[in-house]
Amino acid sequence: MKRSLSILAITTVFILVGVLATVGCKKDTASSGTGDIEFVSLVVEKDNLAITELTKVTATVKGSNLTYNWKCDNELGVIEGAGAEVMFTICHGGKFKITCEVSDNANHKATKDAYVTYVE
Amino acid sequence: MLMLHTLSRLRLVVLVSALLILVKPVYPQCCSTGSPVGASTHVGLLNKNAIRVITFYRHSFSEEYYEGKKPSTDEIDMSDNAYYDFGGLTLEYGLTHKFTLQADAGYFFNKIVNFHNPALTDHNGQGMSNGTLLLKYGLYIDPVKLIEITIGAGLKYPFTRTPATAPNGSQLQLDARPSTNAFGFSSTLLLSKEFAPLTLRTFILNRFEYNGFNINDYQSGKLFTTSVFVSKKIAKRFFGIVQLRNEIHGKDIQDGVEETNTGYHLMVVTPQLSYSIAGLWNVSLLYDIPVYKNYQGKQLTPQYSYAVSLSRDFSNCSFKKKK
Repeated sequence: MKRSLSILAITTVFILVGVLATVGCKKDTASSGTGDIEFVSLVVEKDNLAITELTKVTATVKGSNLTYNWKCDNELGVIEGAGAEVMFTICHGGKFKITCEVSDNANHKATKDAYVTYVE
Repeated sequence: MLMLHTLSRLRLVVLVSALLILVKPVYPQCCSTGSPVGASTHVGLLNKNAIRVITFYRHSFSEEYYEGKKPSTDEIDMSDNAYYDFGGLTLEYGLTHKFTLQADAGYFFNKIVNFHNPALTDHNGQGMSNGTLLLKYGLYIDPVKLIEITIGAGLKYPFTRTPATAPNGSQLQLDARPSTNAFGFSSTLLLSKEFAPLTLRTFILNRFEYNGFNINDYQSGKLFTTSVFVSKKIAKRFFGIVQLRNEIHGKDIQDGVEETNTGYHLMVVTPQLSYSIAGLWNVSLLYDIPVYKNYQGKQLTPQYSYAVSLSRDFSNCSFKKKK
């Protein structure tokens, strides 16, 4: 009896691990658009830089209670800071897209892209 | 009978020690210590209904940039150094005498990229690494000649598909993330030969890992690892092990394009000491020493790594004793 319970417990652990793998996987759905938000501009201060050099990226957005979400299309990009103005850098050359998604309390959203080129 | 028991114990200690050496994160890519842990490379099989539990802690530190086979001479470094502290757990269960099921998971207490530019806040990733479910099969086992050939295959899975974020809400740089956030698979091949009179064992373990794409269309490169082990009883309850590990890592891919500063060939020598407590528990210590590095582009490379492990096997006999 005790042994059967032990086997049952082990089997449960393995099943739980499998279930966690499935349930824990959520995929983000990116959304963009406008509501009461107007994304005026997204400006990169310097668009041609040496690797590891920092550049300022500024978002100008009309709206209230805004939240800014920044992202680079390369996984090695680094975004420093938060809000309407951030700094960006990366450790290798190429042309990279920086995306800023802005949302407000009513979940209105607006998105803009800017590009920056790094040379090695 | 006693002889058989001793051999069995020796085999256990060596197998557990081998696992400790192998369950380790993949080495750095580009700017920092790299990919997450898949603690799924236990070697050998368990007896039917036997259970093995292994927990371990590992610290790894990377500081020196390499270009090809030599240290980088330019001074444009993205990071000063990078390091992590990791805890892992492996559970194994002997389904039959030929099949063993293995589950691995781990947690990064920290995974830090220390940026060179003081204007940048260091990235620190914490959280679950990838997990692995592996099924191992005894292809050929000769208990008289003490030869074992085991193959294994399994699934690598993320606990979340969403990449970890920094305090400012942006995604952590890849090298600071605790998980690939992607599915994958791995396969293993073990060739083992024991020389009982000499209390010596040698074995070779090959492991291949394939990683899928994450939600940002980034794919970590394929990894092929070959490890050669020599294990010898050096004193009562003490075993000394030396491993030579060869790692070949393919290039990472972002949006269909190969990343320049990825891909490497690394060779590591790992001395290890194992101690058996009361014939039930096993404690191991090891230290990784890189002896050959060949990195494509420019990448931060490992300086050293050490780990400590505690393991315990629960066999049928163990259950009976408790009754």
